[in-house]
Amino acid sequence: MNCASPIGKPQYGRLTILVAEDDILVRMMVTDELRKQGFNVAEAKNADEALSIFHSGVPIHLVLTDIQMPGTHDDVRLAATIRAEYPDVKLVVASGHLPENELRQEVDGFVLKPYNISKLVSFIKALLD
Amino acid sequence: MSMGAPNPAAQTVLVVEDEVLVRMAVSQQLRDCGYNVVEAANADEALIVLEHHKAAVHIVLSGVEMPGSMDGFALATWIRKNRPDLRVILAASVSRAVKAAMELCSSGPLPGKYEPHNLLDRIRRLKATRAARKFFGRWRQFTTRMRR
Repeated sequence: MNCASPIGKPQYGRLTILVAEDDILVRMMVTDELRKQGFNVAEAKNADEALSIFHSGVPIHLVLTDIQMPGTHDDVRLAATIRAEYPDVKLVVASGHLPENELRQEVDGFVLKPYNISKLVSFIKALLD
Repeated sequence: MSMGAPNPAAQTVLVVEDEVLVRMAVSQQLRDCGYNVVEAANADEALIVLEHHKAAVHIVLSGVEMPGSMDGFALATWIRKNRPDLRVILAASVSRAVKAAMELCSSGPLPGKYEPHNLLDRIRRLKATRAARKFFGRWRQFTTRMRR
């Protein structure tokens, strides 16, 4: 089985999560925890960086994205782009409030902020099972 | 170990770089060498990390030209004044960042046979794939609009 990842050594049985979050301290907390749980993690500061990582060919299995991030792509367009171009990728949106219906239809899960990190990890694991 | 659990015994490197693919690849290489890595997209994010994460960062590997309120030189000046215990490495180009990462790897917790050209090639491939996919994405949007 060849699972060579362009962002690191060959990975066997590991899943890659892309965390898009503009708050560096929140991003650090979430990515640290996901790495401790054994996931590969790629980090993006905003929607533009998230799309850059997608377009670079790095295999992504799940995206956890904050909404209302700065950048030329807003959250809804990011979700729509991922859905259109990468339909197999799980999409989880995090926000301090419930998103609009349009966005909710695009996503596989919604997480309220501030994060309960253990609940978040359980939720992600359940989605990827 | 690759992108796995942070090693609590390892030193932590703060990688400051605004080009996400370079930041991702360099950070990944350092993780492969056994370092804990914190990724910052610019000097402003680096300052937030350094002010909130005082004991945990040991080395700062930063680009020079970056958007935001300060560049790499200004960040290095701030660190010299406020965190003189930190080792700062400034890299003015991708190849210099790669070279610096390899030097850290050679003295890191998991020294191995890491070749600078492999990391540089990886970054070039990531960028080339991004450019091609962006082009085809725009082409697809254009042809979709033309059909309507």
